[in-house]
Amino acid sequence: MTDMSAVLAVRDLVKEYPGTVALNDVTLELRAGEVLGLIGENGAGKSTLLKIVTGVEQPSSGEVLINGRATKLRGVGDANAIGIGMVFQEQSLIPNLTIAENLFLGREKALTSFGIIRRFERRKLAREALDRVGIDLDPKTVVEDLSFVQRQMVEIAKALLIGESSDHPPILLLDEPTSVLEGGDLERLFSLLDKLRSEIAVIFISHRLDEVLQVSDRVYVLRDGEVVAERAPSETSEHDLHLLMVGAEHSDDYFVSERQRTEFDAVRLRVDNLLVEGLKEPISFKLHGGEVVAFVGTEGSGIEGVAKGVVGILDRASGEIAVDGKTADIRLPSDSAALGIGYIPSERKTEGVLLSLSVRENLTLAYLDEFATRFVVSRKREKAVTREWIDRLRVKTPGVEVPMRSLSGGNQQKVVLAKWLLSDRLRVLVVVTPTRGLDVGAKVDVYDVIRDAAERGVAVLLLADTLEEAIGLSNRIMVFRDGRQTASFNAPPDKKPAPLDLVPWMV
Amino acid sequence: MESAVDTAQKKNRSGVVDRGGSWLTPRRRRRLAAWGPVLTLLLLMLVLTLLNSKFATAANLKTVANQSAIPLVLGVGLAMVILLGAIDLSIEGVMVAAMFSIALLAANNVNDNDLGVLAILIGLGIGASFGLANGLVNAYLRIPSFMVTFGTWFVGIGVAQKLLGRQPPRIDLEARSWVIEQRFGIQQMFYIALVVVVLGAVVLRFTRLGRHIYAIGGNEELAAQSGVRVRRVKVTVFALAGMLSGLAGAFALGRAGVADVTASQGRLFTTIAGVVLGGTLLSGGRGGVLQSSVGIVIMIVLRNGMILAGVDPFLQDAAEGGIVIAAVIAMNWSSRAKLRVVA
Amino acid sequence: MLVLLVGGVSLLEPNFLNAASLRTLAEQFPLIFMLALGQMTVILLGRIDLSNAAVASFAAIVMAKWIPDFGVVGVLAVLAITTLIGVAHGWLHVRAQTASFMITLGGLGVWSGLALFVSEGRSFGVDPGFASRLFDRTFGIPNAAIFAIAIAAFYAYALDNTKFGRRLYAVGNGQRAASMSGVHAERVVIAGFALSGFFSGLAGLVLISWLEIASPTTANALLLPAIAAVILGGTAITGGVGGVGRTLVGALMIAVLRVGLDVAGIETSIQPIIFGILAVISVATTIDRARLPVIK
Repeated sequence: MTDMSAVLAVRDLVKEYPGTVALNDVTLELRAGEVLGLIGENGAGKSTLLKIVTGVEQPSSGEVLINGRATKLRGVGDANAIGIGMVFQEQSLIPNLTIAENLFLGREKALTSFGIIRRFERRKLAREALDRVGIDLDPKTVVEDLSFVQRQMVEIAKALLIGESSDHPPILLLDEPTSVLEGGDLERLFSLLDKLRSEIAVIFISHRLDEVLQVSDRVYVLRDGEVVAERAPSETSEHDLHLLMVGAEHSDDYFVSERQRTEFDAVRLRVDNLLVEGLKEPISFKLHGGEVVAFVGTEGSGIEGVAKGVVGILDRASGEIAVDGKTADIRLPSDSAALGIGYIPSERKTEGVLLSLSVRENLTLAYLDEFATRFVVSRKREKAVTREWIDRLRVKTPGVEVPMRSLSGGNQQKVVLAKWLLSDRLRVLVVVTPTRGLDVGAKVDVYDVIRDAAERGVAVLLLADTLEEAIGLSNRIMVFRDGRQTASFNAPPDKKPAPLDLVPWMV
Repeated sequence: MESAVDTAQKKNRSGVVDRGGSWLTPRRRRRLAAWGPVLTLLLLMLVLTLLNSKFATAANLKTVANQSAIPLVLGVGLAMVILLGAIDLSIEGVMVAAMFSIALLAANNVNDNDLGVLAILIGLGIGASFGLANGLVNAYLRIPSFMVTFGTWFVGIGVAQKLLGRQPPRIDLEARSWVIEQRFGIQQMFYIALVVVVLGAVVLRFTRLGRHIYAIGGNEELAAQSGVRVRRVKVTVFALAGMLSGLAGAFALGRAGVADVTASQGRLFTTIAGVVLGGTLLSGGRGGVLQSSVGIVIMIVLRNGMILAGVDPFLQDAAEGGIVIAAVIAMNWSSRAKLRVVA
Repeated sequence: MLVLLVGGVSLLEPNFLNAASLRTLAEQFPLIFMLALGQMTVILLGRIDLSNAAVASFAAIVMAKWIPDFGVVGVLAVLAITTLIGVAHGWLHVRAQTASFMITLGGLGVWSGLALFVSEGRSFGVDPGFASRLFDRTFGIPNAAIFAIAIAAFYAYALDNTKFGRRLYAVGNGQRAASMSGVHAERVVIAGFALSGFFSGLAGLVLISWLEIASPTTANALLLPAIAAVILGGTAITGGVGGVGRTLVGALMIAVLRVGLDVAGIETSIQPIIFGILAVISVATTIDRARLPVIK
């Protein structure tokens, strides 16, 4: 039975991707006049849920109900049309148009005579919409001239306008709206939500649990694609929610901890005074051969910039990098690769693999030199090495010449790892969320490969998918918040810190 | 150092990639784009006046006005297409196809047709049909516009060659008077071109179609999500551009009095270079018809200056190619980003 | 499809399979093929080179001027120049991150303008001088054309088996992923344009040794047929898919079509219409739309 006052509900929602289940039988509802908090770790299914509710993805089974009616959403346009407004991290306003133009884009018909837009009328309506969210802006302002928070307010105003045209209260989806807000801006957003609370329904997603508790009427906790709890803020605490998000701890052998090294080789990678986009103060660190160091932090903590700065994807404002004690001049990923720094990107499909090329061609691309005498690549040698690594990493593939496209995500990831591991020249492996979207079996396989690398003396810089993974895999953990390092933990196999030890330094 | 990274980060988060230095805020960039071309034009005219006494004479300036008419009309169409983020390479082909059609339908020396104004309207219609084909193939078959219009460029030239027959059609003086009759010493087509420019500016600025063009150029996916009928807008714009190429063909016919397959040669360069110099970015969404028209006048004045200086005409062509490259690169410079992939 | 085409044309026009038209075919084909190979290299990278026919015209004119004095050295110098022209296009394209069609469209203007300027707008006969061997014919086929075929065979092997070839396909299939795997993608793109320039130079050589006349505009008409040949052969403009073999088939089809149209007495005037439509249709069938989120 769905409560009659539920403006938006999902029922028995299942979303399967090849090799993994992103949402497993999720049922939840959003009532008129409430702010619903939605929390969960990366990969818990929050973003998949949002994608389904906004029509970007279709559920494998289950249904979405709007105002009690089962509704099929075929795209963001559909969601907009029935009064679901969204404020995502990526902007949904068109930068070269004015506020007024953005607010009524696609719905100018009522404001048009003989093809000419009645601009003064539109401006008046826009000003009214802006007044409702309490910001004093000239509707003629071009959106790209606005600050981030001003844009967010305009987006909320637009979402409300969209919602008004429907027969139910406007539904507002706020995905990490606070991740870049501070102080006064944050207060403005919260007081606005309070003011509008009675007339709308809001889903609020944030990794800042204190804020979630502050604004929400109810909180859902997602873990591994399932709703594991529904709580009222009055009956729970940050600590409680953290426990729910992380869940029961995996056994140590999940992360193959018995293979974790405790003695290390010489320093492989030294980074001094690194400053890149995303960091607010320069950082320095060393990675020893055989050591796995995890960098943890939430969205906006700057850790992604560290990884990208080291491999030359981002330009460094400052910073010296040395590999095996020799200063390295890294400007592009091709430079870092030549120095023995391998990179496993988080965007596997667009940055990790070449889907149309064969397994062999993918596997040998990074160290093509090793298969070639002068200019000519020896296909025989390629095939032999490819077969060897397919066996060694237990890659499930019909053959070495099939296109990468035909492999599952986990097996693709193994090929991406093998592409670097096959060379003795590999010194450092920079690994970003290597298990995102993989099923449990594939995850353990990937952990095994990372252990292999450490065993060989490769230094591993890890940006893990979850806190638990970071702790389980690493020897050392560096914690970041808002572009600065806030703490450092040792994580020897027998004395791992708990996730809750780290969290206070992250948020 | 720290604050520099800080602002770079903020900008990045707010979705504005701005690598042209911190002083070049979007607002300043827009202002520069609006007034830069005007200043350039004035400066260019000043330099030419100083270099060559023949430049600032009434006769020469009237020549410049007469020569501007065709590129201005083409520029309005191309600017609208470029504002979408697309391109129309077919303007030369469409122009000559329309030119020959009109020549054979108006009073001419090859056949007995004499449709008068109707001939011109049919010519515009032929141009619009080419544009319509461009738009339909681009929007519905989902083929990049540069490829489609590159194809129709040659189709248009083929049509003109086919219509050529044994002798180039020459039209009667009467049929061309609407183009070449002079007012205040300048041919009438110049005034028609000005009207087209103003109409183009009005459409872009005040109508739903115009604002949807900017929305699509700004971000096509978001525009579609907001309910803009992207494909319909694209088809309309290409059709309008085709029609204007047809009008340019009519002008060219009126000026020369005789249809010629090579009449449109080099028009594409002048038009693209002008539109881009005027501050209309190839990536779409920025610029406008007025700025582009100024850019086109710059190109005409430049060409006039080269002629006055006695530069070899073939070298002038080569120089225009170089200007196209330079203009496109200069205007695109600030949107560069590390490891960005541009095909 | 090629067989069908040859069959079709010879059925419609029995004269097609006679010695004269086969010879025309053999003479037409190498020129289109050289231009197509250069274009293919760039298209494999997901780019396009609208200047390559103009560069071929320019090369033909300059070679014709230099061969009498410098012989083979002059030919090699021109090949070096056209390669550098390609490097310049590629460098501007990746450095300025400006669409390749735009840069090479400008190049089309520059090089066709310079070809006309150097030749003063006229065609002129070529004095073979020392390089006369290039102009000799074996069984009626210009030596330069045989030479061109040999180069194509070598190129096919190279694309398939060298590090450069492999990186070229990797960049064409996904530039970001290739970059992240340590490929210096920008260098590969510049090299691709350099090869396009080199093949344009060869096309210029084939042109003058075939016609024994240097004309500043002859090659220009082959821009569209050459692109059509590449795409018709099955190389997608989105990059990464295709190769020399396919381009050979595509170029043969175009050559057969051109000669076939001539033999069948179809006026040359409508040939641009046919090639324009053909190019668009073949793009439509080979393009990988999944790789283009928004099509402009």
